[in-house]
Order: sequence, then structure tokens, then C-alpha cells
Amino acid sequence: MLAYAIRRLLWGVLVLWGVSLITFVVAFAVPADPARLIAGIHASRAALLNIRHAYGLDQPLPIQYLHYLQHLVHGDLGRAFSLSEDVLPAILDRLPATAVLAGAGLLFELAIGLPIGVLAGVRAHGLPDRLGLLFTLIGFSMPPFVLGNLLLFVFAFHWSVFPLGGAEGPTSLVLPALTLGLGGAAWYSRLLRGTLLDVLRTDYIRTARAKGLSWRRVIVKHALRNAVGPVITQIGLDLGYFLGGVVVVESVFAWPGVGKLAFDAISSDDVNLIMGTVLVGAVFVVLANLLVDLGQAWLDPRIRLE
Amino acid sequence: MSRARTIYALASILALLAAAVAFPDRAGAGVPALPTGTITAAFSSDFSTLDPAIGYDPFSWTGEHEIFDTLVGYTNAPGLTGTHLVPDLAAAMPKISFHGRWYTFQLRHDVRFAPPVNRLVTAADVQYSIERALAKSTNGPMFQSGFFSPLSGTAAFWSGKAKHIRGIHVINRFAIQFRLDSPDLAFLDVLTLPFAAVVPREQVARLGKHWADHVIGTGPYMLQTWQHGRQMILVRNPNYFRRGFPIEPRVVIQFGVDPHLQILRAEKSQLDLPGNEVTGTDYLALRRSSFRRQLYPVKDIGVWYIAMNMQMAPFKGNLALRRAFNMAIDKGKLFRLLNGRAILMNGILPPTMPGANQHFTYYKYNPAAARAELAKAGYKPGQLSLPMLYISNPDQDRAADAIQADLANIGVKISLKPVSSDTAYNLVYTPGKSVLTLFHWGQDYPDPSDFVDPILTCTASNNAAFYCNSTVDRLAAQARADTNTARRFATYRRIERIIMGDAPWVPLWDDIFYDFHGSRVTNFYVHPVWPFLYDQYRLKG
Amino acid sequence: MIGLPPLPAAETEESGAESAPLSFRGRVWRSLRRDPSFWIGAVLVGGVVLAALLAPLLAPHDPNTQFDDGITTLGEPLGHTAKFPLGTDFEGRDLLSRLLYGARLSLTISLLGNGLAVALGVLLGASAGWWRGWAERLIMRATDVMLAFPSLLLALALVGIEGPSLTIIIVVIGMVSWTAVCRVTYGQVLALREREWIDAARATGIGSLRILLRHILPHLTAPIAVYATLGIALTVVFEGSLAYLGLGVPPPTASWGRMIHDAADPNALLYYWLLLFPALALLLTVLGFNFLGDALRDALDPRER
Repeated sequence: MLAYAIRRLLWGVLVLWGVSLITFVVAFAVPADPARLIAGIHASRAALLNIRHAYGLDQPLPIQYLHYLQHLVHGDLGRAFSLSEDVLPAILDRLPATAVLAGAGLLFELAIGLPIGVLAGVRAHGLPDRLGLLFTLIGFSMPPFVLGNLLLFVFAFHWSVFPLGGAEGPTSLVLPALTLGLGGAAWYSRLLRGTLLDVLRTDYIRTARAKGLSWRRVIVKHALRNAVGPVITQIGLDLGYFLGGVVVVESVFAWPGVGKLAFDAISSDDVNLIMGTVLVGAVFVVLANLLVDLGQAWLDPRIRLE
Repeated sequence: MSRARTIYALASILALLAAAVAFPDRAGAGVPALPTGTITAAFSSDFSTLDPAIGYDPFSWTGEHEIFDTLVGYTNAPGLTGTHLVPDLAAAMPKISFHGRWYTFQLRHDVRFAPPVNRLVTAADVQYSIERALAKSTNGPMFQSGFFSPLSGTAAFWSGKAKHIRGIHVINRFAIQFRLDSPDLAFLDVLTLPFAAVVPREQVARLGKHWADHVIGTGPYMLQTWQHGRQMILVRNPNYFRRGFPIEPRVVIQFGVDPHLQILRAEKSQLDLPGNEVTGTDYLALRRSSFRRQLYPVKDIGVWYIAMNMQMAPFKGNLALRRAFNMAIDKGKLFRLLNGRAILMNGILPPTMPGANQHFTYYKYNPAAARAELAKAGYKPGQLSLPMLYISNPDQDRAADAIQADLANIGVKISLKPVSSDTAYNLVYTPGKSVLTLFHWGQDYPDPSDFVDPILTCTASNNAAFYCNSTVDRLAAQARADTNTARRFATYRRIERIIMGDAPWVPLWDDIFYDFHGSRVTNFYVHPVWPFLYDQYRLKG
Repeated sequence: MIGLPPLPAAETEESGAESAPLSFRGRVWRSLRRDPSFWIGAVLVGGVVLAALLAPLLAPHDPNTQFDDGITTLGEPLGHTAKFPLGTDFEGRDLLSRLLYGARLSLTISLLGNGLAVALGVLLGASAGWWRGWAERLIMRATDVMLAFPSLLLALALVGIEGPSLTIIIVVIGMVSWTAVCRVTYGQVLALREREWIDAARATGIGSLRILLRHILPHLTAPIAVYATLGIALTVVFEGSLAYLGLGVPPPTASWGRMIHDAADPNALLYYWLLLFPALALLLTVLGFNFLGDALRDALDPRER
């Protein structure tokens, strides 16, 4: 397994390189001028040209990319055009907040989604199944900005149970994490339900039941272990996605994470900041996917790692 | 088994609810209750910089304005009064001599930089600061800028031939003289721009690229901390030369707070100053609420207009078509769609600006006449199809839809192209990229020259219609150099009439913003140039 | 893990009341017929599809017309009136008409975009999981790259180059969503291919493709169905977020995502109808597809009695 992990990490570097290349090309394909972020919207042509030249933005793209890579290996992600900050410190500053929100959001998703999924799978087509489905789907089909604003309005404004956004203290984590949780629980409940149904109908389950094993043992020992594959994959996807920053929830709740930074970078075409946030997000995606693949192999020893 | 699962599920849900309800209802639990002596403001985005040589947006200017000073400034009052010039670092308004070309300033003798610099501000500091803002190596917006080009010797300075600007002449320790190539009554307005703010050279030299994070100036506040993306804390400058100001000793500016959330917090008395203006929807809702007295209207000095690219077909050389567009737009409908938050405009000078013709009319809404002009332009109804570019935003979305409907009404098919702000600014001012644009120009300073020279002259950088009329250029240069205020205003009004005759634009409206403020601020007003004057606000209690 | 494999070829038919064996289609229909999920789903989805198809007939007004009497003098929208059954929006446009026409857009975008994503994802994921080796490495690293790449940037770039259009949105959604399906499919195929019955099948000389289709694919219907049906809500919402940035379908075309986004303002809940009705429409559509998807999955399951 160790050899596999190392090989995957090496591939990961290749993936990061691929991401950096694509992002670079795309960021410059957007018809916006990063120099204007410094010069302002009233800037004269002369000032723009001067700034472009000073930051090397008038050089051919391949040269700019090479310079970027050169700085990258020294740990320098450049300076953000739209802020008076360097890119790497700007991202690292906001990363802890994002990590906390990602973790809490995932926890809520699992805490809400998994029990409902198990219930629905075991009692398929019964009332718990239907109600569980309804509950998770309502949360899911409400866009996060609607759900978040509603939660904010009801629980932070109308009843001052939680703070109005911000990141001061543990209470301010509840509503944004709940928004993520209610929004994403449906994946887990539906995936678990579906695969549980699949597994529960197989003959060996029936055999086990026929042999007199209790439901609990059947579910825990046999069914869940088989059904949990897609759930783990989804956890990896969620983790990778959350750690890139969840911009909507961060905006609604004024949560100082990386998401809003990344979003603002994209809207203003701040190429350095875009590259930085995408690369950092990519690192998490690669790591999360690696962990998922390792986890699946560990859970099901029959899966041969390459 | 399954019953256990049910219990587990219910229990966890109950636990969540219990946790939610059990937390004590401290109003704004987690967000610190507003302390006395501290003004709390919030903006949706971080300030881009605090370096006065670089910052060129209204938000960073609110910060810079409180930390730095310039030779002259504006009266601290709302409305038109707030556009009157008064001395700031200068002891008095300058002596203007040599046919209006020389401005001699006597500096105050009691201005010191904030700690830890502490020393007296001299004329040499003024010279250094302005030269720094203009220097090529600073990579700021003022390089080769039209605002400062009237100063003698700027051409040589910018081309690198001269180390200093000949037109900035230090007479003695506290006296400085500006020499212009030709008279320019707008020059004093230019000197109020933060680009002319005084900075301590030794700090700039010492901190290099970190200077913007640790700025030191002469203003009522100084920067204590700046956590990027989170908050900025300003505290009273003990060396500030005006007694009694700032009124409140501390300002906390929070970043990353969505405008809707700003209002919620202000209503709950957790925020004093929402920094972003109120959206149309929030305005309508607030009007009906018990908080309506905390809404403050601000008449902007700017113009929303439709630019018709006169270098591209179909507008090139087709005056009748441009006139048709002007007569096709129902501005009364726009007024309603904007919830009355607008002053309709028919010309290029906002009615809120000194010197403007408040009752200027040229084209009237007349769809029948518009159709006739369209025919004269050589187009049958339904024949012409154009894309219109604009910046996506709730107000502009509505306006664009209405404009599309109005033009469809006369037989012109418009496809809407909403884009992000940065994409728009890149496309619109580049020749050949956008044939029709719904766009905006906001003031740099409240003088008509700022609404002609940068946007409607042949060499202008920000000319969305690519309009070029040599008569207008000649008159604009003449007005810029005219020292008789009444006469130059008259010239600008004449320019306006000529331009509207050429119809490069369809002028639409000038914004009325609404700012919402918390109940703690007793004397809140919005300045026409700086918006927020933190040092002037007084908190209750 | 012990267990005998199910034998898909020989359906162990427990014929209860019916003594004559039914065709595959007959069995599927019988399963569906008995399933309340199917009926609920069919009604909801059918309703939305009908609304979309018959919009020109059902809508009381043109969805894009800004009525002078549709807003107050201050530009406030109207609630329910005789002329406007569900009220108007901030431009004086009829909400009901916009909802009906919006159904067309949302359904087109989500069915096509999501369909594209699921097709692509299943194809690539199954290939990666089954054949392994270089296919696996390439495909899974490609998904890593796609997952790491922000969809927003892609959308911004594509729109910046081509201009906003329906095709661009569908392509963006497809390109963004296929990776999740791919990874889940890959994981499932990986696990399934190690089952003994697969070895048995391979031992008996059945070709790879046949194994994939007959033995593995049926077990994939569960997660695929989940992603296909849940994906519909996601795509509608995603389109709304794109519209917010000016990247959605060009205005003034009505889209539920955009309507929801424009109305989600915690300060303006007094104009609740602007949020309530589109959100309700979305919810019912998502529910409908999910119920329908469930029922179809159950009916198509080879081991369902």
C-alpha cells in the first residue's frame, strides 16, 4: 500500500502541473486585463501599459508561464493584483477557517444523511423511507444561498440564537455548517439507501438471515461494509470540494474562508490569485481522492491496488 | 436494529435542536456587542490597498482619506456644499498668479506625521509625495495621467529625462509653488485627490512593498492593524493637527460582509455603518419598515448612458440611427424600475455637479419619431440586430431588459450580453470590441472637465463611444484653461449641446444611492466625494 | 465474504398469482404499477414536462413583457391579482408565465447537461475500473484535474470567448458534473470485478463487454440513478448561480435558477412569492425525478421479485 500511495503522490504532482497549465491558459483567455485591477477603472492607456510591462503581463504567455513555474518551485505564488497581499499568505491566512467549516459541514452531512440512509434502506418503501427522502431532498433542492439566508434570517435575526454571520466563536460555525449539511445530506442518504437495498436483496444476506443472524449483525457486519463504497467516494469528493472553499455559504455568513477569495479572484480575473487558489484547491482534491482510494482498498481487501 | 436506528436518528436531530435553543440568547452571540467610542463599519470586499499613490476606487479612498491629507480638501458637508474647496494641509487657499498659472501654497506649521515618524511635514514632503505618485517606477494609475499633465516638466519627468518635475517648486521649508503650462481651474480639484496625499519618504523607503500594509500619514486616524479579508482597525492619530477630531477614537472596518448581512446587522445594532449602498430590493423593503429613518439618500455625481460606438457599423456616420436610439428610450419607465433612485438625464453633465444645466433637454421620448429616424437611417423594422454589453447587476439587469424592450418597440432587435465588471472595462475601452454598451462614468472630482476630457475627447482613454469632434476638443481645452468660472461653465454647457447634437450617447440617469446606517450614529451624512467621514461622526452615548 | 452469485440469466421467478411468465417489459411495468413512488414521480414529472411543453397555451401572458401595470409607481412587484395569478416580478413581468416558460429552460438544461455528464462519467469510470492499467491511470488523473479545476473559471472563460448561450451552459454543466459520476462508477466497478461470480463468468469465456453490460452495469444502476436524479436539481441551481454572474442564458429568458437567485434576499421576504413559487417548482421537479428514478431502479433491478 505504501508503494501505491507514493506512486499516486507522484502522479499527483503531474496532475497539479496539468491543472496549473490549464488554469493559466484559461485565466488569460478571459477577456479581462489584470493590470486594470491595479490601475483602476478610470486608468489611462499609458498607465495600463506601464503596469502591464512592470508585471511582465505583456510578455508571451509561454514565457509568463515559465516565470510562474520558476517562482512556484521557490514557494512564491506572486502578488495578488486585486489586493495588496502576496498570494500564498493570503490563501494560508484563510485556510484554517475553510478547514473548520469543511470538517463541520461534512460532519453535519454524515450525521443527517447516514442515519436517514440506513433507515430508508432497511425500511424501504415504508414511511421512514418516504419522509427521509422528502427531508433530505428539500434541503438538497434548495440552493445554498436560499437555505443559508433562510437559516440566517430565522435563527440569527428573528430569534437571536446564533450570531449574524462572522467567525467569532463556535456558535457562528453552526449555521454555515448546517447549511452545508442539509444541502449535501441527500447524497449520503440516497447513496447509502440505494446500495443498501442492492446488498440487502442479495442471496447471501437472505442466507444469513435465514441462518438466524439478527438484523443488526447483518446490517453492520455485512451490508454496510459493502454498501459504503460510494459513500466514501462521495466523502472524498465533498472534502476536496469544500476545501477549495464554499463561496456561497462563506458569502452569506461572512465566513472568512478561501472560497470568497477564489470567487473574487475569478470574477476580477486576478490571474495570480486564480492560479494560487486553484493550485491549493487541487492539492486538496488530489489528497482527498488518494485517501478515498486507499480507504476503499482497506475496507475491501479484494480490491487490488495497481 | 432498525428501531435503534430510528432512535439514534431522532436523538441526533433532537440534540441538534437542543444545542441550538440552549445557547443563551445574547444578542449577536459571538459578534462582540458594539463598544462605545468605536465606529464599526463593514464592506463586502477588502480594500485593494491603502497606498495613496495606487488606490483608485471609492472604497480604498474612504480609508486613505482618513489616514492621509492633501494641500486642499472639500468642506465636510453633504450635497453641493461638500464640493467647495477649503485648505487642508495648506494654511490658506493658494495665491494664484502669473495669469492663473502659478499656485503658491503656504503650509501649516503644525502638521506632523503620525507616530512613530512624528516629524513635521514640509514642502519637500509634498514634492516627494506627488512625484512618487506620478513616477513610472511606482506603477500606479497616475503615470502619464491627464490630471497632472498641466504641471510643467511632467513630460520630461515621465520620459525619464528629468529626475524631478520642474513645475513643483519648493520655495522654502513651508512654502511650495506649482507651475502650470497653462491655466487650469480644475487643478485645485486634482490636488484633493489622494494621489496628492503627503507620505513620509523614510517609511516608504524602509518598507518597500509592505508600505501599503503599514501606512503612516497625517490624517485624523492611523492604521493600527490590517488583517486582510477580515478587518482593519484605525485609531486616533495623537499628532493630528485639528483639535477635537476625530470625534470617536477608534474605527473597526470589517471585510467580506455581504450587503444583505450588513443591513441585518445594522438593524440589530451590531453594525454602525454598512459600507455598500443598499440594493433596490432592500431599499423597497426598508422603506416600509420601522428602520426607514436610517436610510440616507445620496445623489451621486455620475452618469449611466448607452454608448454607441462611432467607429463601428452601424453607428459610424449614421446620425439618424443614433438619434433614433435617443428617442426610443422611455426614461420614465427606467425611473420606476429603479424605484425612483435616479435623476433622469438628457445630457452629459450630471445635474448634481457644479456648473451643470439642471434642466437640460435635447431628445424627447417619442417612439413614432424614433421609427421615422430609423427609416431615415436606412433600416426597416426588424432588420437591425445588435448585441448590447453591460455589467451584470440587479439595477442594470432591469434597465437592460427595459432598453431591449424599448428598442424592440421601434424595430431594433437587441441581444443582451451581461458580463463581469472587469471584462466590461477591458472590452469597452478597446477599439472594435463593443458596438453598443450600457455603461457608467463616475466622477474623480466634481468639475465638468472630468466629464469631458477623459471620456469625450479625441485622445481620451475612456471613450466608450470613440467620439471625436475637433470643435469639442478645442472648446474643452479652452474651458480647462479659462480662469473665469462662470464663463468656463458656460463653455461646458455649450460643449454638452454640441455633443448631444452628435448623439454619441443616450444619456439615461444619475444614481441616487441609499446608505443605511445604524441607530448609534447621531450625525450621519454622506459626503459627495468621500462617502464616509469617520472622523466627523458622533456616536450616541 | 461468502456468497453465491445471483444468476441474472435465470430469473428466479416466484410467480405468485400469475402463472404465465411475463416478458421483461411486462415485469418492469408490473413492478412500476405497484410502486406508489412511480405514480407520485410520474405525476410530478409529467406535470412539469406538460407545463414546459404547453407553456405557450397555459401561460396567461408573454413571459418577457414588462407590464406598466405590473409594478407600482416605485417599481415594487405585485402579489396575486386577477391579471397576474401568481404576482409579478420587479420588472412587471407575470410570474406564472415565467414559471411555465422557465420549466422549458430548466428541463432542457438539466436533462441534457446532466445526461451528458452521466453518460460520460459512466463510460469513463467503468472503463477505468474494468480495464485498469493505463486507461485507469489516465482517466482517474483526468478526473483529478477536472475536479480541481473551478467550474466557474471554465464558465467565465467559455462565455468570455463565445458569449452566453444555452449550448455553453449545457457543455459547462456536463464538463463539470461528469467527474463525480466517474469516480463513483470507478469505485463500484473496482469492487464488483473482484467478486467471485465475475471470475466465474470470465472463466466460462464470456467476453469483457458482455460481462460489463450484463453483470456489472445492473449493480451500477443504484448510484447512477442517484447522480442522474439529484444532478437535475444541481444543474438548475448551478444555472442560477451562473446567471447571477452574467454567465447564464442571456436575459430576459426566464429560468428558475435565476429567479430563485434574484429573490433570495433575507431583507425582502415581504415579496415572498418571487422566491416561493420558483423554489416550490424546483422542489417538486426534483422530488418527481427522484421518485421516478427510485421506481425505475427498483423495477429494473434483476433481482426484484
